[in-house]
Amino acid sequence: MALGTILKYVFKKPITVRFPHEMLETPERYRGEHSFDIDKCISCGVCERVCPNKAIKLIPAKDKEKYPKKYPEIDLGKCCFCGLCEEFCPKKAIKLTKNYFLSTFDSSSLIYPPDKKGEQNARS
Amino acid sequence: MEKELFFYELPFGPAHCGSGNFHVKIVMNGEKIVEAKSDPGYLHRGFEKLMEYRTPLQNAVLSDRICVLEPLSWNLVHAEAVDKIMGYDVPERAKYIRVIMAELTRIQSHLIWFGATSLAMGFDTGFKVAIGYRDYILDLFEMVTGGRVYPAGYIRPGGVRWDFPNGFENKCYEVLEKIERCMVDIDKILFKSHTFKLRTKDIGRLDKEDVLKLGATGPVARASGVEMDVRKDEPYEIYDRLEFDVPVKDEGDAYARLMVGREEIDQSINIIKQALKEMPEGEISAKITPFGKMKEGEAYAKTEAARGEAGIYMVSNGQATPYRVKIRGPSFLHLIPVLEHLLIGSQIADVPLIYWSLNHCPADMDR
Repeated sequence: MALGTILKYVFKKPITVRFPHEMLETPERYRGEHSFDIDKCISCGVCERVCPNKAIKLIPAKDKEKYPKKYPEIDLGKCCFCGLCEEFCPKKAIKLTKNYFLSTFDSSSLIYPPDKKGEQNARS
Repeated sequence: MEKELFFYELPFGPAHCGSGNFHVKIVMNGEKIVEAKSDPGYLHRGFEKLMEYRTPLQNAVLSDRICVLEPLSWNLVHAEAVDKIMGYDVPERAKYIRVIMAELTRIQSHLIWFGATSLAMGFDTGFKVAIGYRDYILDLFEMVTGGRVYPAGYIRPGGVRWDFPNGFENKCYEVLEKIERCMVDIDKILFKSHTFKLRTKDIGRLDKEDVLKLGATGPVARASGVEMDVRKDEPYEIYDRLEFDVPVKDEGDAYARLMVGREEIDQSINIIKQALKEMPEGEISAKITPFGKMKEGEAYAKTEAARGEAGIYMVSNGQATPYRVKIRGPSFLHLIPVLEHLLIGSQIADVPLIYWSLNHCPADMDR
């Protein structure tokens, strides 16, 4: 019986993939790195209030002339990736992308100021 | 006094490879255990206090973390408690989705249980087969909730967060077929194997009276001949409309406990198939507001999680956040009174096996 099992698996394809070179398909609803579109944001502050971990804080943007209000700054180190900010954002300015390559040696790089667009910073 | 010279104290855990964040102080005389003292608290995160500072919507996300191995069951208990206080009218489709997800969670949790038990016996193949097949269920979770382990409050007050995606039903049937095939494998290598029976039979025997005295629930109680199941006794969601049996055994030993879990998987597959067939179309959530105040009142919700009776008692005094939350984890009673009772008089080599046969989760015990 044991030999039969061995022979059966010798000629089978492995069910794992060679990870960094090949990747499994990520499902549509995957909750990964945030992408924030500052042009859509109306500074309502819902994301700040709904965040369970207080990872979102409203701060003034760098370019004060173009963006005079306060905009969310996202701290990925505190984030639990629940997606409530995405769900309750009335203008769909915050979106969770499929990017999960978020490990870093520098914890300050996890704080995303409002001007930074998540998609451009995808480290994949 | 002189006798104590021969006593030897051996700590089991908290860093033991088979204990998982839990510590039992064991006093032995030779190979025999004369005293056992559970020492919990290595995974305490203070959910009861944390929940007092968050709104029910945020607590739904937090309730995932109560037990890592069955987050959706805890989502369900929390959602039920808030539903009772707020009087939400949960739509029919949401109830079916809740039951399907809760039963899938039960299957994957039992698979981990079998895996961990065979690992405690030193049998790695059983662990790998069980954990490998569990991944198919995690694929389903990832497809529906976006997370393999943590669903981020998928089952939340008022309904569920998202509807099933396209193609879920077909994939679910496929996965159930795979699990059925997996159970044939697991039967062959574990439950029908001579070695497994020799190792688990007559070990850690728990009597019917002790179950009632010590407060065990779930598979542990059912393996000792106590017929209790919240799904049958006080049906919640749609369990009163579904047909299923509650497996009960009389032996009360480790083998009977595992066997109850084994038969529950068949029943869960049966429940999911029925629910998928009868599931109506329609809304998936009652109307909820993210920042509304809670209604005044109190409620106790209990459900049958994979490990036993899971309960949440919630008091609200009309603020946005609950005034007090009490969480009843099934593992608490399994790991402290029941484990201490079972270990006395047993052999040191049986400790990991008795420990794992209780189907516990240190996370929901410490809370």
